[in-house]
Amino acid sequence: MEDYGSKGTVPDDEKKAYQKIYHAALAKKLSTGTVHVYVLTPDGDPIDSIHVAHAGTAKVTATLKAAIETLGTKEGKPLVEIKPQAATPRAGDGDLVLYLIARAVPGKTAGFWQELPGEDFIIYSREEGKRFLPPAGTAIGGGYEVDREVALKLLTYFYPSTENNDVSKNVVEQVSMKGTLIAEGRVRLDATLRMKHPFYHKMDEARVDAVAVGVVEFDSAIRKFRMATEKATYNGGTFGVAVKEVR
Amino acid sequence: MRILIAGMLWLLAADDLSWVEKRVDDWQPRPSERKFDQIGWLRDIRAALALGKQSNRPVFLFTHDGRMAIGRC
Repeated sequence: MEDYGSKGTVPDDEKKAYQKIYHAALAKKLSTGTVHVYVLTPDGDPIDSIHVAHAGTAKVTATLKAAIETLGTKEGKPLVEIKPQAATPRAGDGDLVLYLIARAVPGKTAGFWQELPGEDFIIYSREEGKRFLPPAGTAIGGGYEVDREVALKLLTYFYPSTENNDVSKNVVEQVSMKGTLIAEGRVRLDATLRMKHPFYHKMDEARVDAVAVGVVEFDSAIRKFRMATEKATYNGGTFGVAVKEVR
Repeated sequence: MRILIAGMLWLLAADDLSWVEKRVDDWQPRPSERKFDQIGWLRDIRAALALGKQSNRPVFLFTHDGRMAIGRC
């Protein structure tokens, strides 16, 4: 709902459309909130609502069935195209697009939302992507440091599902990414991260501690990029991050 | 000699990164985590209201913070 606030990015008409529904629901003494389900008549009048904490399959199904019965809705095909919602973003020629997934993994269950993974797409220009690679003249077995800025552009998304997804609120306490040329055209990356990531938008003591290993295959550009956490914790819970190139 | 062998063993170990690939594969979204994609969503209330009116169907509105499409919410 950040987009619908006074400083939100959606057009004013869209904000007004939401406010109209919200206030109509309030007037009808329906439950309301920022994370909420509303059922509206075809004319946009709210007739039911569910707080997200109660919006399980059984409750939502029952609510929709009740609405169908009340309104006499006829069965029909979907009116909106069904498609993956997390689509790979457009990128320029030669850009490296990394797809990141952060999820709960076996271990301690605590400290973050476990139910669904978080996903991100991180786009590097061709020149930025090359900074993951060894400097010219590096011998097999030779090591180097990956530029902090390049490493952080990826590692700042190493956090599980929380209420806060504003990475500018992260506070990096320690970061490193070391590369080793392990074969011709093949690099191993070893990354470590210690980073505060507030669970809500207000600063707290929740931290990410992560150790990750990557493998990169390249010729004139990066052809393959894989990275996974060896171990990662956040706010008392265990999570994992996996990264792969999608372009 | 010991140093040389140790160095070679480290390089072999360093090159055994199959677990990284396996984790990346294993941790991809599962169908059970993609049920959200089985619904046709509009991202604009005005468009949903217009479609509801035009088709005489109710509108299911889900409001939230963050980015639901990528699970960052």
